[in-house]
Amino acid sequence: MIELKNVKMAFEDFNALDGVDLTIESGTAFGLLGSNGAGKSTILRLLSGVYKQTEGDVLIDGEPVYDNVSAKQKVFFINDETVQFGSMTLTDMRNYYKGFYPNFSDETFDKLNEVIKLPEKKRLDKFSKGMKRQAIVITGLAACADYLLLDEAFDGLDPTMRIIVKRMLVDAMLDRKLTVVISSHNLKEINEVCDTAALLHQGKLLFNRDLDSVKGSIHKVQAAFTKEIGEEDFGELNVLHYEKNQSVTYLIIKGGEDEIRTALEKYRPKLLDMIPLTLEEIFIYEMEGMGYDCNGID
Amino acid sequence: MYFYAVDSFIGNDLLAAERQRYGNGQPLNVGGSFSKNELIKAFTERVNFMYDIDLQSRTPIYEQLYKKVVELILKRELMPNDKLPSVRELAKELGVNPNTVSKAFQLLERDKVIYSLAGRGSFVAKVNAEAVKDAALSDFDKAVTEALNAGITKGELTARINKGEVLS
Repeated sequence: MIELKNVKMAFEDFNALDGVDLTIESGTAFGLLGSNGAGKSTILRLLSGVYKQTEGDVLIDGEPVYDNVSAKQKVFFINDETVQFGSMTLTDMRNYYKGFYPNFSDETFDKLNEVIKLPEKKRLDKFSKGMKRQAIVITGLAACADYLLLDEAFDGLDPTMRIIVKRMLVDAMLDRKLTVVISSHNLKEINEVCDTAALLHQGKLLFNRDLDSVKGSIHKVQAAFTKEIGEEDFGELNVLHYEKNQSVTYLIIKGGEDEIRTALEKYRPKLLDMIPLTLEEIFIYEMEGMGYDCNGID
Repeated sequence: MYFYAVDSFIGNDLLAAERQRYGNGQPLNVGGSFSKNELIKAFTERVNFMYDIDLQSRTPIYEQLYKKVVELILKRELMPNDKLPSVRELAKELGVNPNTVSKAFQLLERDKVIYSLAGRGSFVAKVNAEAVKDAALSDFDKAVTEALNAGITKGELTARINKGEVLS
């Protein structure tokens, strides 16, 4: 289990994280969403012991991470910056990580590289960007750590690699309760891979929820009523947006379908259509509801 | 434990690609010259075969899977005691989180649509067809009541059913 307790991280006068509380259960895939500079990478760097938090606790299975080898051996961080060890070859890099991760699996590494066919004797700084990315991804999977952190994970991987990585994550989650933490600003990717997601904005956690319960939590309603009905009549519902165009009323309402339908049918609508918002739309409305401008979150 | 991922990726999908190309029953040329794109195409087609769901849909993935299994049972593509794919297989084929697939299976089991045998997998339950039909009919009744409340006439509803608009 990963725990962040009131974590603050300051870089000189900039607060990258401003009091974050977060728990990630083992065996889940967790998505960290947020615009650039929201604090996603800072969280991952704290979890892998690259940074030491200014305040609060960062715990892996109850142990503090910073400067703690036994906690850090449980974590593999796949960084978005592909500056690995320039003068090393792939084999050197494998041996380097093998010395650190006790469960490192050569078989996994070889099996993966059979598919990808990266040159083993070539210097890593002669690799293309995509190849560097592949090199660190297969090393990360072969390390067999309990926690795999993926920063902007799927960027730079071709579709085949994406499928392979996703499938390996499925196996590892089922076989050894691997916990995956993925940062991204791509909601589509998070939606497919993760079961829980948190949204970060300016160093704060806006929300942290089970993705299934997020879906279907806000509805777009199109209704027409026989009598004159205005915005004030929807007082009992949590209306996020109201718009009227001639006889048709457009509403965005927070709540489940049944609840909304029951409330609106009291007014005997001539027309009542509703569809749940997409995950993307929900995030945008939630952000706006909290007074945030969501430009930059796609 | 990882090799399964890679093996099944190459193995099964090559097989599917081969079948696509030569038809079933032809000798298989496993290890043949398929591009990555062909593999992905074969992979996608295979997934779309039975348990296709829309990952970008507004409906939660577990709910879509639940409905898919029920639909396959009602269409008799799945018969009582048929074995369902494992959580692992489905998660891999669909490219989704295994916890999501487990959730669908748990709900299906709770509602007695499927049953599971320890170590052997999940199977379609026997007496569920009627129950599922009843549930579908009660949803239908509810929708009809709502439609009538909204001022749609019986005639319009019947015409709609006859036209087959809701039967696709």
